[in-house]
Amino acid sequence: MIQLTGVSKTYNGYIKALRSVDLTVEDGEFVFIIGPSGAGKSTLLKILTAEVEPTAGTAEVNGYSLVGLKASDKPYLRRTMGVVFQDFRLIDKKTVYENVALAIRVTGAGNREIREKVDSVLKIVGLSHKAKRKPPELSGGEQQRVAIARALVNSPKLIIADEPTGNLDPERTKETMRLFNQINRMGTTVVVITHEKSVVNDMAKRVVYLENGCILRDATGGYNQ
Amino acid sequence: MKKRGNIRYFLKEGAANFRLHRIMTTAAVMMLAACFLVIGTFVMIVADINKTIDDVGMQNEIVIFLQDYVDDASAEDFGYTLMDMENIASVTFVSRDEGLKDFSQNLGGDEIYDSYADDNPIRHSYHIIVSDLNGVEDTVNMLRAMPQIARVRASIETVNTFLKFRNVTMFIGVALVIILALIAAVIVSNTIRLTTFARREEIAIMKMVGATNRFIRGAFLVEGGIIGLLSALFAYVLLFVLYQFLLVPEMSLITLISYVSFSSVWHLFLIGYLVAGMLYGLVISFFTIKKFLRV
Ligand SMILES: Nc1ncnc2c1ncn2[C@@H]1O[C@H](COP(=O)(O)OP(=O)(O)O)[C@@H](O)[C@H]1O
Ligand SMILES: [Mg+2]
Repeated sequence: MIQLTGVSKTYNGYIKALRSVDLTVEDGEFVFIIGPSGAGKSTLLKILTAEVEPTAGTAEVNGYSLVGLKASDKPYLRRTMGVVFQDFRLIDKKTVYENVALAIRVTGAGNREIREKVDSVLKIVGLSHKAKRKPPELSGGEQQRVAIARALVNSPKLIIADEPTGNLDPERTKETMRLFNQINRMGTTVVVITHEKSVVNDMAKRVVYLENGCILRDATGGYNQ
Repeated sequence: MKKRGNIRYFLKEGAANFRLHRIMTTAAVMMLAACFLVIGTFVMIVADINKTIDDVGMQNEIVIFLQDYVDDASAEDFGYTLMDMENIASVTFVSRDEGLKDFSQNLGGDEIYDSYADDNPIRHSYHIIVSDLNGVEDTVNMLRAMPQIARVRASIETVNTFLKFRNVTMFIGVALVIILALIAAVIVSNTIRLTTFARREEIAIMKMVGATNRFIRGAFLVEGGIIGLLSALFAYVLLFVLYQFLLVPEMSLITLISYVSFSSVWHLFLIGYLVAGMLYGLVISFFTIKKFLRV
């Protein structure tokens, strides 16, 4: 669950990336956060992952208060969520299997548990047959699915994707969105950040529109203006 | 179970890092090995000097030889005079006859005794044990001043020379080791920094998926440990070759010096080297990556 109240973020004392944002996302929801470039979407993500701290307001994610969060608690907060980026952020010299395994390995899990969970998420994203390949040998869509598998492997309560389809063609984009929908139906909260309106319009989901650091619209249904 | 999985992973990661930065890592290993080699060489030299000191004789024994004119009776009585002196714990009289017997026995032949028995060249002597080593020089000087005494032989003087030699050697050794250790620290630290820098993207990803600093440190610590262990092994082999095949044959020509055989201390060296090497590698890498993790 995400609960932001009056959250602002100012960079370098004058760049106002977020201005008093109120946002609640309940467990099991599927939410799009959209808005033009520079609207503050990535800043919002960074606040949720405790990469940056709000300049004002209170923020809580999966039971962790993000204001004044101790550095030693951050890893544990991050294990409650899976994050997917536009540029995938995979380690090129490691196999698909090891890339996905990393997220669970860092929790101190044993090899048997790692194998079971990695095999199972690779099956979900349809990449079991490419487990031994390395990311550069895969297509963009496949790499994105590896990243999604990695985000899923810890069975997190929450998945956040920042522009996950930015590097994908329309067909792969649809595929990826279907995957997120499937993940959401399995009970995981899904937050997809995007600036592509077409992605949003295809699905009847809650849409939060962000512009210039403010939430201008928060409603269910496609985004048409 | 959990821990073991991670350690295996760290070992794999550390080894992979090692391969990836072969040249830098090899340089680090060489430097550290040189450091260990110097330490080892000096330790061995000091050990040899110590052994020599022990062999030169009981350090607190003084042997005096009486003048030729002192007859048998007064020679025996002289023991009381000695016992009255300060700092003398015990005296043992060795008569001319006994002296000759010892002498000829040491040379391994009764013929020597037989041929010299009539015209014994050996003087009456006393073996004196002092009670306090620190005052031994005063005692030696007092003995020298006595007219009945022809000669004073105190191994302490030889020992002192060796002690001085040992102290100088130790000083040079310690100074060299400190300098080399600092240079090695810089090189090892740079190696770790380089590999850490090359993997900062990977570190960021690890943090994103919820890795603790401890976990991230793991692989790098293993790398530092591997560098340390390899250096130790390398230095060990070099030291063995150097000592056994070069130093010992050279030194045994100088009969005065006794040497500790490498085979009697090899296990101490191996254990000491490995432990020191690993600790050194771990400590250096620990402090190097500390900076990287603060972000
Ligand atoms: N680290 C930063 N330092 C300074 N300004 C930043 C930083 N990150 C983002 N910004 C600024 O904050 C605003 C919002 O950026 P961002 O959250 O990345 O928007 P979006 O993801 O919606 O494009 C932009 O004006 C951007 O230039
Ligand atoms: Mg962005």
